[in-house]
Amino acid sequence: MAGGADFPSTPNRLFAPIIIATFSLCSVGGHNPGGVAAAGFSSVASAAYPTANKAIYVPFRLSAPIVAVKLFSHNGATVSGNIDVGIYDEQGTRLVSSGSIAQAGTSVLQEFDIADTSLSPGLFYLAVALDNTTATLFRSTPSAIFLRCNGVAEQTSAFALPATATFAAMSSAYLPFVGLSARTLL
Amino acid sequence: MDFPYAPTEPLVTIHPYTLESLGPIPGILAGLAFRSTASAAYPTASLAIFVPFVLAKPILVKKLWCYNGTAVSGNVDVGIYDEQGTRLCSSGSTAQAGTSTLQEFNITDTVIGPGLFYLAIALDNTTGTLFRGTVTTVALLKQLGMFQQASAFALPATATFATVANDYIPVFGLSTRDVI
Repeated sequence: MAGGADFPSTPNRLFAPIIIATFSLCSVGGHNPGGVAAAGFSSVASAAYPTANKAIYVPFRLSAPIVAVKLFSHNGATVSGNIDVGIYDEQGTRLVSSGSIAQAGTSVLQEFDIADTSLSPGLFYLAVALDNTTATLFRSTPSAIFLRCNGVAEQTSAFALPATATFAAMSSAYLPFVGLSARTLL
Repeated sequence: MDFPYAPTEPLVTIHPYTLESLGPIPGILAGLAFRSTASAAYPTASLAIFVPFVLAKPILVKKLWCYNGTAVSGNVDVGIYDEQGTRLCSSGSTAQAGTSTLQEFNITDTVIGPGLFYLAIALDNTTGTLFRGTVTTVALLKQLGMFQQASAFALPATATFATVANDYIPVFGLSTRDVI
Protein backbone atom coordinates (compact mmCIF):
# COMPACT_ATOMS: atom_id res chain seq x y z
CA MET A 1 0.00 0.00 0.00
CA ALA A 2 3.02 2.31 -0.05
CA GLY A 3 2.20 5.31 -2.18
CA GLY A 4 -1.47 5.12 -1.40
CA ALA A 5 -2.47 3.94 -4.87
CA ASP A 6 -5.83 2.52 -5.70
CA PHE A 7 -5.68 -1.04 -6.89
CA PRO A 8 -5.92 -0.34 -9.79
CA SER A 9 -5.60 3.46 -9.94
CA THR A 10 -8.58 5.07 -11.47
CA PRO A 11 -9.01 8.76 -11.47
CA ASN A 12 -9.81 8.82 -15.15
CA ARG A 13 -10.10 5.23 -16.28
CA LEU A 14 -13.32 3.52 -17.15
CA PHE A 15 -12.78 0.60 -14.86
CA ALA A 16 -13.36 0.50 -11.19
CA PRO A 17 -10.89 0.29 -8.34
CA ILE A 18 -11.06 -2.69 -6.07
CA ILE A 19 -10.32 -0.83 -2.87
CA ILE A 20 -10.74 2.84 -2.05
CA ALA A 21 -9.13 4.20 1.07
CA THR A 22 -8.98 7.76 2.29
CA PHE A 23 -5.43 8.07 0.95
CA SER A 24 -6.33 6.66 -2.48
CA LEU A 25 -5.95 8.54 -5.72
CA CYS A 26 -9.73 8.57 -5.87
CA SER A 27 -9.82 10.32 -2.54
CA VAL A 28 -7.64 12.84 -0.73
CA GLY A 29 -4.55 11.09 -1.95
CA GLY A 30 -5.52 12.03 -5.46
CA HIS A 31 -5.58 15.69 -4.63
CA ASN A 32 -1.94 15.83 -3.88
CA PRO A 33 -0.38 12.43 -3.68
CA GLY A 34 2.96 13.88 -2.77
CA GLY A 35 1.40 15.92 -0.07
CA VAL A 36 -0.58 13.19 1.54
CA ALA A 37 2.26 10.76 1.16
CA ALA A 38 4.80 13.13 2.56
CA ALA A 39 2.51 14.01 5.40
CA GLY A 40 1.20 10.57 5.87
CA PHE A 41 3.43 7.71 5.05
CA SER A 42 6.32 9.03 6.98
CA SER A 43 4.06 9.75 9.91
CA VAL A 44 1.33 7.17 9.62
CA ALA A 45 0.73 5.96 13.13
CA SER A 46 -1.85 4.80 15.56
CA ALA A 47 -3.49 7.68 17.36
CA ALA A 48 -6.46 8.24 19.58
CA TYR A 49 -9.64 9.35 17.89
CA PRO A 50 -9.76 13.11 18.31
CA THR A 51 -13.29 13.64 19.65
CA ALA A 52 -15.91 11.23 20.87
CA ASN A 53 -18.93 10.95 18.57
CA LYS A 54 -17.35 13.09 15.86
CA ALA A 55 -17.96 11.94 12.31
CA ILE A 56 -15.24 12.57 9.75
CA TYR A 57 -16.24 12.69 6.08
CA VAL A 58 -13.58 12.17 3.42
CA PRO A 59 -14.57 12.73 -0.24
CA PHE A 60 -13.82 10.25 -2.98
CA ARG A 61 -14.72 10.08 -6.65
CA LEU A 62 -15.75 7.29 -8.99
CA SER A 63 -15.39 7.36 -12.76
CA ALA A 64 -16.95 3.94 -13.18
CA PRO A 65 -19.61 2.09 -11.19
CA ILE A 66 -18.64 -0.30 -8.45
CA VAL A 67 -20.41 -2.44 -5.91
CA ALA A 68 -19.15 -1.89 -2.38
CA VAL A 69 -19.32 -5.17 -0.51
CA LYS A 70 -17.27 -4.32 2.57
CA LEU A 71 -16.09 -1.38 4.60
CA PHE A 72 -13.01 -1.38 6.76
CA SER A 73 -11.08 0.59 9.34
CA HIS A 74 -7.38 0.37 10.09
CA ASN A 75 -7.48 0.02 13.85
CA GLY A 76 -4.61 1.27 15.95
CA ALA A 77 -2.81 -0.10 18.98
CA THR A 78 -5.82 0.31 21.28
CA VAL A 79 -9.44 -0.51 20.62
CA SER A 80 -12.33 0.69 22.69
CA GLY A 81 -16.01 1.31 22.48
CA ASN A 82 -17.84 1.30 19.18
CA ILE A 83 -17.16 2.36 15.62
CA ASP A 84 -19.38 3.12 12.67
CA VAL A 85 -18.14 3.35 9.06
CA GLY A 86 -20.28 4.40 6.11
CA ILE A 87 -20.64 5.86 2.65
CA TYR A 88 -22.52 9.06 1.85
CA ASP A 89 -23.51 10.62 -1.44
CA GLU A 90 -22.59 14.14 -2.49
CA GLN A 91 -25.67 15.63 -0.86
CA GLY A 92 -24.86 13.99 2.47
CA THR A 93 -27.34 11.15 2.36
CA ARG A 94 -26.09 7.99 3.97
CA LEU A 95 -26.09 5.16 1.44
CA VAL A 96 -24.80 2.37 3.63
CA SER A 97 -23.03 1.89 6.93
CA SER A 98 -21.80 -0.75 9.27
CA GLY A 99 -23.89 0.58 12.11
CA SER A 100 -22.48 0.81 15.63
CA ILE A 101 -20.11 -2.11 16.13
CA ALA A 102 -17.64 -2.87 18.88
CA GLN A 103 -14.17 -1.87 17.73
CA ALA A 104 -12.09 -5.03 17.67
CA GLY A 105 -8.61 -6.10 16.64
CA THR A 106 -5.54 -3.98 17.26
CA SER A 107 -3.23 -2.86 14.47
CA VAL A 108 -5.24 -4.68 11.84
CA LEU A 109 -8.03 -3.96 9.41
CA GLN A 110 -11.42 -4.44 10.95
CA GLU A 111 -13.83 -5.49 8.25
CA PHE A 112 -17.52 -4.69 8.15
CA ASP A 113 -19.75 -6.77 5.95
CA ILE A 114 -22.44 -4.50 4.52
CA ALA A 115 -25.35 -4.90 2.18
CA ASP A 116 -23.84 -4.86 -1.28
CA THR A 117 -24.25 -1.27 -2.46
CA SER A 118 -24.00 -0.11 -6.04
CA LEU A 119 -22.26 3.22 -6.51
CA SER A 120 -22.54 5.05 -9.82
CA PRO A 121 -19.89 7.50 -11.09
CA GLY A 122 -19.86 10.61 -8.98
CA LEU A 123 -18.71 12.16 -5.73
CA PHE A 124 -19.12 10.37 -2.42
CA TYR A 125 -17.82 10.44 1.12
CA LEU A 126 -16.22 7.78 3.27
CA ALA A 127 -17.36 8.40 6.84
CA VAL A 128 -16.22 7.16 10.21
CA ALA A 129 -17.22 7.90 13.79
CA LEU A 130 -16.17 6.47 17.14
CA ASP A 131 -17.95 6.95 20.43
CA ASN A 132 -14.86 7.53 22.57
CA THR A 133 -11.32 8.91 22.53
CA THR A 134 -9.56 5.87 23.96
CA ALA A 135 -9.97 4.03 20.68
CA THR A 136 -7.27 4.49 18.09
CA LEU A 137 -7.07 4.34 14.31
CA PHE A 138 -4.12 4.51 12.01
CA ARG A 139 -4.10 7.99 10.58
CA SER A 140 -1.93 10.58 8.94
CA THR A 141 -1.66 14.12 10.20
CA PRO A 142 -2.18 16.71 7.54
CA SER A 143 -3.28 19.93 9.18
CA ALA A 144 -6.98 20.61 9.56
CA ILE A 145 -6.63 23.40 7.03
CA PHE A 146 -4.96 21.02 4.59
CA LEU A 147 -7.89 18.67 5.04
CA ARG A 148 -10.38 21.49 4.53
CA CYS A 149 -8.55 22.48 1.34
CA ASN A 150 -9.21 18.95 0.15
CA GLY A 151 -12.89 18.72 1.00
CA VAL A 152 -12.73 16.78 4.26
CA ALA A 153 -15.53 17.73 6.65
CA GLU A 154 -16.75 16.75 10.10
CA GLN A 155 -19.87 16.66 12.23
CA THR A 156 -19.99 16.57 16.00
CA SER A 157 -22.45 14.50 18.02
CA ALA A 158 -22.76 12.15 15.06
CA PHE A 159 -22.52 8.68 16.50
CA ALA A 160 -23.96 6.49 15.17
CA LEU A 161 -23.54 7.97 11.69
CA PRO A 162 -26.65 9.98 10.88
CA ALA A 163 -28.96 9.35 7.96
CA THR A 164 -28.17 12.82 6.70
CA ALA A 165 -24.82 14.48 7.22
CA THR A 166 -24.52 18.08 8.29
CA PHE A 167 -21.09 19.08 7.09
CA ALA A 168 -18.97 21.37 9.20
CA ALA A 169 -15.45 22.67 8.77
CA MET A 170 -12.85 20.07 9.68
CA SER A 171 -11.07 20.99 12.88
CA SER A 172 -8.79 18.01 13.57
CA ALA A 173 -5.44 17.18 12.01
CA TYR A 174 -6.55 13.61 11.57
CA LEU A 175 -7.04 11.71 8.31
CA PRO A 176 -8.32 8.30 9.43
CA PHE A 177 -7.50 5.28 7.35
CA VAL A 178 -10.84 3.76 6.46
CA GLY A 179 -12.23 2.56 3.20
CA LEU A 180 -14.39 0.34 1.08
CA SER A 181 -13.79 -2.81 -0.88
CA ALA A 182 -15.44 -4.14 -4.00
CA ARG A 183 -14.01 -7.50 -3.14
CA THR A 184 -14.99 -9.71 -0.23
CA LEU A 185 -11.42 -10.74 0.49
CA LEU A 186 -9.31 -7.91 1.88
CA MET B 1 1.75 13.03 -16.10
CA ASP B 2 -0.10 15.56 -18.21
CA PHE B 3 -1.03 18.72 -16.42
CA PRO B 4 -3.60 19.82 -16.06
CA TYR B 5 -5.20 16.40 -15.97
CA ALA B 6 -8.93 15.90 -15.84
CA PRO B 7 -10.25 13.20 -13.56
CA THR B 8 -13.75 12.53 -14.75
CA GLU B 9 -15.26 13.35 -11.41
CA PRO B 10 -13.97 16.35 -9.53
CA LEU B 11 -13.78 16.30 -5.76
CA VAL B 12 -15.22 19.03 -3.59
CA THR B 13 -12.36 21.47 -4.05
CA ILE B 14 -9.97 22.37 -6.82
CA HIS B 15 -6.71 24.19 -6.14
CA PRO B 16 -3.27 24.33 -7.74
CA TYR B 17 -2.19 21.09 -6.09
CA THR B 18 -5.13 18.98 -7.21
CA LEU B 19 -5.09 16.57 -10.12
CA GLU B 20 -7.26 18.93 -12.16
CA SER B 21 -4.54 21.58 -11.91
CA LEU B 22 -0.79 21.34 -11.36
CA GLY B 23 -1.25 18.36 -9.09
CA PRO B 24 1.80 16.78 -7.56
CA ILE B 25 4.21 18.15 -10.17
CA PRO B 26 5.50 21.16 -8.20
CA GLY B 27 6.26 18.90 -5.31
CA ILE B 28 8.05 16.41 -7.49
CA LEU B 29 10.06 19.14 -9.18
CA ALA B 30 11.02 20.89 -5.99
CA GLY B 31 11.16 17.93 -3.69
CA LEU B 32 8.36 19.55 -1.80
CA ALA B 33 4.80 18.58 -1.10
CA PHE B 34 1.63 20.54 -0.61
CA ARG B 35 2.07 20.19 3.10
CA SER B 36 5.40 21.93 2.81
CA THR B 37 3.93 25.14 1.50
CA ALA B 38 4.77 28.07 3.72
CA SER B 39 3.59 31.59 4.38
CA ALA B 40 5.29 34.17 2.19
CA ALA B 41 4.71 37.75 1.22
CA TYR B 42 2.90 38.32 -2.05
CA PRO B 43 5.61 38.88 -4.63
CA THR B 44 4.37 42.03 -6.37
CA ALA B 45 1.57 44.43 -5.54
CA SER B 46 -1.39 44.17 -7.93
CA LEU B 47 0.08 41.18 -9.74
CA ALA B 48 -2.50 38.64 -10.89
CA ILE B 49 -1.41 34.99 -10.88
CA PHE B 50 -3.26 32.53 -13.11
CA VAL B 51 -3.14 28.77 -12.52
CA PRO B 52 -4.69 26.44 -15.11
CA PHE B 53 -7.10 23.64 -14.35
CA VAL B 54 -9.33 21.42 -16.44
CA LEU B 55 -12.78 19.96 -15.97
CA ALA B 56 -14.17 16.91 -17.67
CA LYS B 57 -17.72 17.82 -16.68
CA PRO B 58 -19.65 20.86 -15.45
CA ILE B 59 -19.45 21.84 -11.81
CA LEU B 60 -21.28 24.43 -9.72
CA VAL B 61 -18.83 26.72 -8.00
CA LYS B 62 -20.22 28.02 -4.73
CA LYS B 63 -17.23 29.55 -3.02
CA LEU B 64 -13.71 30.71 -3.66
CA TRP B 65 -11.04 30.71 -0.99
CA CYS B 66 -7.41 31.44 -0.24
CA TYR B 67 -5.07 30.23 2.48
CA ASN B 68 -3.80 33.36 4.19
CA GLY B 69 -0.36 33.38 5.72
CA THR B 70 0.94 34.79 8.95
CA ALA B 71 0.29 38.42 8.00
CA VAL B 72 -2.68 39.96 6.26
CA SER B 73 -2.84 43.36 4.68
CA GLY B 74 -4.76 45.33 2.15
CA ASN B 75 -7.13 43.61 -0.24
CA VAL B 76 -7.35 40.35 -2.14
CA ASP B 77 -9.34 39.30 -5.19
CA VAL B 78 -9.90 35.68 -6.26
CA GLY B 79 -11.57 34.60 -9.47
CA ILE B 80 -12.01 32.12 -12.29
CA TYR B 81 -11.28 32.76 -15.94
CA ASP B 82 -12.04 30.77 -19.06
CA GLU B 83 -9.43 29.70 -21.58
CA GLN B 84 -9.79 32.91 -23.54
CA GLY B 85 -9.16 35.03 -20.45
CA THR B 86 -12.73 36.09 -19.76
CA ARG B 87 -13.50 36.45 -16.08
CA LEU B 88 -16.39 34.16 -15.14
CA CYS B 89 -16.68 35.00 -11.47
CA SER B 90 -14.68 36.66 -8.74
CA SER B 91 -14.84 37.77 -5.15
CA GLY B 92 -14.07 41.35 -6.04
CA SER B 93 -11.67 43.41 -3.96
CA THR B 94 -12.05 42.22 -0.38
CA ALA B 95 -10.05 43.09 2.70
CA GLN B 96 -7.63 40.28 3.42
CA ALA B 97 -8.61 38.90 6.82
CA GLY B 98 -7.62 36.05 9.09
CA THR B 99 -4.06 34.89 9.52
CA SER B 100 -2.93 31.32 8.93
CA THR B 101 -6.39 30.24 7.96
CA LEU B 102 -8.70 29.92 4.99
CA GLN B 103 -10.48 33.05 3.91
CA GLU B 104 -13.72 32.21 2.14
CA PHE B 105 -15.49 34.27 -0.50
CA ASN B 106 -19.16 33.64 -1.11
CA ILE B 107 -19.78 34.23 -4.80
CA THR B 108 -22.79 33.95 -7.04
CA ASP B 109 -23.10 30.25 -7.76
CA THR B 110 -21.52 29.73 -11.16
CA VAL B 111 -21.59 26.70 -13.44
CA ILE B 112 -18.33 26.08 -15.26
CA GLY B 113 -16.99 23.28 -17.41
CA PRO B 114 -16.07 21.19 -19.15
CA GLY B 115 -12.91 22.77 -20.47
CA LEU B 116 -9.76 24.64 -19.52
CA PHE B 117 -9.95 27.39 -16.94
CA TYR B 118 -7.71 29.48 -14.74
CA LEU B 119 -7.85 30.11 -11.02
CA ALA B 120 -6.75 33.70 -10.49
CA ILE B 121 -5.65 35.69 -7.47
CA ALA B 122 -4.25 39.15 -6.87
CA LEU B 123 -3.28 41.19 -3.82
CA ASP B 124 -2.83 44.95 -3.84
CA ASN B 125 0.28 44.97 -1.65
CA THR B 126 3.37 42.97 -0.70
CA THR B 127 2.80 42.96 3.06
CA GLY B 128 -0.06 40.50 2.81
CA THR B 129 0.99 36.85 2.80
CA LEU B 130 -0.39 33.61 1.43
CA PHE B 131 0.65 30.03 1.91
CA ARG B 132 2.45 29.08 -1.26
CA GLY B 133 4.72 26.51 -2.80
CA THR B 134 7.74 27.09 -4.97
CA VAL B 135 9.72 25.22 -7.58
CA THR B 136 13.40 25.47 -8.31
CA THR B 137 13.14 27.75 -11.32
CA VAL B 138 10.48 29.97 -12.81
CA ALA B 139 10.98 28.29 -16.18
CA LEU B 140 9.29 25.25 -14.65
CA LEU B 141 6.19 27.29 -13.92
CA LYS B 142 6.00 28.23 -17.58
CA GLN B 143 5.98 24.55 -18.40
CA LEU B 144 3.17 24.08 -15.91
CA GLY B 145 1.01 26.53 -17.83
CA MET B 146 0.86 29.39 -15.33
CA PHE B 147 0.44 33.00 -16.39
CA GLN B 148 0.59 36.35 -14.70
CA GLN B 149 -0.52 39.91 -15.37
CA ALA B 150 0.94 43.02 -13.82
CA SER B 151 -1.17 45.94 -12.65
CA ALA B 152 -4.22 43.68 -12.45
CA PHE B 153 -5.91 44.57 -9.19
CA ALA B 154 -8.83 44.21 -8.97
CA LEU B 155 -8.93 41.23 -11.34
CA PRO B 156 -9.83 42.54 -14.78
CA ALA B 157 -12.85 41.49 -16.80
CA THR B 158 -10.48 40.27 -19.49
CA ALA B 159 -7.05 38.92 -18.67
CA THR B 160 -3.98 39.78 -20.66
CA PHE B 161 -1.87 36.74 -20.04
CA ALA B 162 1.84 37.30 -19.70
CA THR B 163 4.78 35.02 -19.02
CA VAL B 164 5.01 33.99 -15.40
CA ALA B 165 7.98 35.56 -13.65
CA ASN B 166 7.56 34.79 -9.96
CA ASP B 167 8.23 31.47 -8.27
CA TYR B 168 5.06 31.57 -6.23
CA ILE B 169 2.24 29.01 -6.39
CA PRO B 170 -0.41 30.25 -3.97
CA VAL B 171 -2.74 27.93 -2.13
CA PHE B 172 -6.20 29.05 -3.17
CA GLY B 173 -9.11 27.58 -4.99
CA LEU B 174 -12.77 26.87 -5.45
CA SER B 175 -15.36 24.79 -3.64
CA THR B 176 -18.53 23.16 -4.89
CA ARG B 177 -19.79 22.92 -1.31
CA ASP B 178 -20.84 25.78 0.97
CA VAL B 179 -18.79 24.36 3.83
CA ILE B 180 -15.06 24.39 3.22
